[in-house]
Amino acid sequence: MKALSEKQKKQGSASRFLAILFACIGVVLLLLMVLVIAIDPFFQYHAPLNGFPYVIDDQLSQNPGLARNTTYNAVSLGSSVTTDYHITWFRDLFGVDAVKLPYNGAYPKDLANAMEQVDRSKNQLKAVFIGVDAAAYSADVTEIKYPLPKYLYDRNPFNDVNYWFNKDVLTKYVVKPLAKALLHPNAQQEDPLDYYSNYPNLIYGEEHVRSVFQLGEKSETAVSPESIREPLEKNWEANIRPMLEAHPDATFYFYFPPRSILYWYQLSWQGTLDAVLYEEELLVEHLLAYDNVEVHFLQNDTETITDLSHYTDETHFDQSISYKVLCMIKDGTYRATFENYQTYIQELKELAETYEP
Amino acid sequence: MLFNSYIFLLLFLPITIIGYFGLNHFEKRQLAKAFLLGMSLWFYGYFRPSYLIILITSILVNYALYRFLKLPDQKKSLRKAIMILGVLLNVGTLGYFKYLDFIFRELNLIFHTDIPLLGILLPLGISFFTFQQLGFVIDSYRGETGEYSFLDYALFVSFFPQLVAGPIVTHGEMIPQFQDTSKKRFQTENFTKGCVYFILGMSKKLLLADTFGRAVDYAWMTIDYLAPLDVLIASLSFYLQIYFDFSGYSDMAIGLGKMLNLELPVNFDSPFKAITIADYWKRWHITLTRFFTKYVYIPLGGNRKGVARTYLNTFLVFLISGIWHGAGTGYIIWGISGGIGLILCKASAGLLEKIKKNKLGTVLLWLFTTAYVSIFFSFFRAEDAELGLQFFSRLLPSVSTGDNGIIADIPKVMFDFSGLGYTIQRLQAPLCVLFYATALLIAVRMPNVREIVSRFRYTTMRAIGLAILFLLCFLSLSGVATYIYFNF
Repeated sequence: MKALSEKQKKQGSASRFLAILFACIGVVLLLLMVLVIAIDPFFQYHAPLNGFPYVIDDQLSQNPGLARNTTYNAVSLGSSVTTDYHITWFRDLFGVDAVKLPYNGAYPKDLANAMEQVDRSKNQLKAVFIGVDAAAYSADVTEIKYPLPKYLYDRNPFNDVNYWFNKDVLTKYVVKPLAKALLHPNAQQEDPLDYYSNYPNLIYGEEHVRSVFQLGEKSETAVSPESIREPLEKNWEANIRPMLEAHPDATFYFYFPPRSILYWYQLSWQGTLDAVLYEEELLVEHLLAYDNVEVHFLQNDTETITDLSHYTDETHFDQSISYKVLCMIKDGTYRATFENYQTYIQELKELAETYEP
Repeated sequence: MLFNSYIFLLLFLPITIIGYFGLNHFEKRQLAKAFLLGMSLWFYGYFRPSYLIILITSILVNYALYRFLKLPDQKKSLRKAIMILGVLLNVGTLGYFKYLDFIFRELNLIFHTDIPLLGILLPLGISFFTFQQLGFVIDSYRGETGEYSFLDYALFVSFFPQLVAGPIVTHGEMIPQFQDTSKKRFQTENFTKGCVYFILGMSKKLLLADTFGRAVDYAWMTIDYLAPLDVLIASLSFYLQIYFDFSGYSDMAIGLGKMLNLELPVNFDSPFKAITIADYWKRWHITLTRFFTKYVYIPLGGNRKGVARTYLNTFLVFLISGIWHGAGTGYIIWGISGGIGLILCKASAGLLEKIKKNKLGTVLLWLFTTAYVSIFFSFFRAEDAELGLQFFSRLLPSVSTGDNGIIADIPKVMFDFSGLGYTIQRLQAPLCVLFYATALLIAVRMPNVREIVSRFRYTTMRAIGLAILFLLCFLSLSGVATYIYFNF
């Protein structure tokens, strides 16, 4: 009997122990979940809270929430060269409220993924700005630059546990800004939608560009332009055409950003220039067939692309050029038509082939 | 499915516990076992559904061989042939999936041939479930197996806590437990002990091993920049990593078994406390040593055929163990080193006993053993012997650059405080030192998880402490992947 009561006693204390253990775990997890949902640093459930000092530095994680849960009527898509616009520029130049959804090194599928998130919002689009990296349009139709955190993109509410109980979300995106908000309640906060307006620590200037520029090996054989026709057509059908046709009331501004002359010279050196220009040609032919599409050949702005003082490498330029990009689109300085687009391409080809670095 | 995943912790485990004890509560014993088998197959198939074909086929074939060996009045020669067939099938399966591409690769290298590689995917846990079944077929031939139903056998092989990484269990210790009706009722104390086991094991894996893992990965990625001190730290770090990782996983497995009232065998017994290599091998991966002793060492003659043969048998066992661990020359070096260490220990047993009587001698022996094990584990980490040699070549003054190496980077790699402010980032280095000291203290001086659980007292403070450990582990399951944005 004594042994039995000992056992019962032990079981009783084990039950109490278990109850405390599970209660502690349950309560803390519940509190963390509520905290993350309330602040929602990745905007999965609501728009940014007014005045909260959000840390916005992760395109892959924060773009889908921004696309779904903020209010806008224009979207800016593209790769790294489309990240440092101020959204006020879109308002000033085009009269639209834009959201920026850049994906560094974006492939067409990345753009389509972003538009899928946009389409899940209730926003009616007036304008879509797409910076085109022509060379990326012959990638596989499903290729994306970086793996996406799917739990932030899909409709499955159960895998949101990855968001609620995420150590990085809690430390970097909730606790740290929360402490900042509590310690400096009156600090001026930037507009969360205006993130990435400046790349920190980048050095601009011709000397720097030339010091980091690597020409690569000269190719004796050029890539056949015809070889990119099929993948480009597939991308057009799978990733580009559907977005144009899903938004007939929006104006799509496709533009070729002004990459520096070194970039084009490098393509020529490596034997891919003709293929990339052919890719542009095919894409433009498709795009110009749509009434709601404008195409802008900003890469033909010789004054910009030959002045390396505004570049940090052969591709990326500073914010003054970003502003100029939007101005040139607004003014239609290099707007392509069926009549002139081949001239633009030919001019660029000649420039690249005759350039002496 | 990983033990340390949301789906396991939030869905799989609660369903398994409730379903298993629920069905048993209503006296549906067979259904409960079938349910546990079904859940185990889900657990395994979650990695890659096609793996299930291999597992199920392997179970069916081995059970068929067992039934055949159980038939009465069989000729001895036929029974032996069946047993050999079973051994060949199991070893052949393992050989095909684990070693064929490795053999082709080595042949191509040695003979400059061009044999195409097959790109065979290695099914998870195949080494474990193959060995368990290999032992089972041999035991059946020896007449050491009882009357087992297919359900019991299939559950013995696929029981999810031990399926992927052991402990390597025997039919004799598992199937009688599956049949024991006294184990079918939910028992709070067992479940609680299981939770303690599981949480402590998970903490070893996620909080200790994975942190060391970051330092180790970094060191191996930057071999050409290592200074001699880095090599030593990286070697010790990997020994700590693999100990906390593997023993942590075993603790989790044992804990899961306990939650279901099932006892799994001890797999680690504080190997960092080992004074000699012989002592070390009694403490490290105990169920594998047990397997090799029973099915390789003793059949080879064990220690019954003289000293030289004992040493040869020991050497062969460790060579096979090295090969079993992976398809790579580094594993073979690791196995051979382990074997040589043990042989030297056996040869100098008298001397070692004398040294052990002296306190300083004991400390020196421990230092030697820990250093020796750390070094041969580096070949395990390298997988390839050449890479292992490249790693250790950094110890040579002629190779080492003579600068400070990567030691200053280690704290930043282990504790990523980026974005948390300069004040907190300054704590990285002292925290790193404290971390190493604590981990060594846990490994060398503190009781292991089995000892902790055996004398565990159910106090409020311990419940809170355990909850904190669980929460730290739980929150470390998910992070935000970062890419180098600013480099475009």
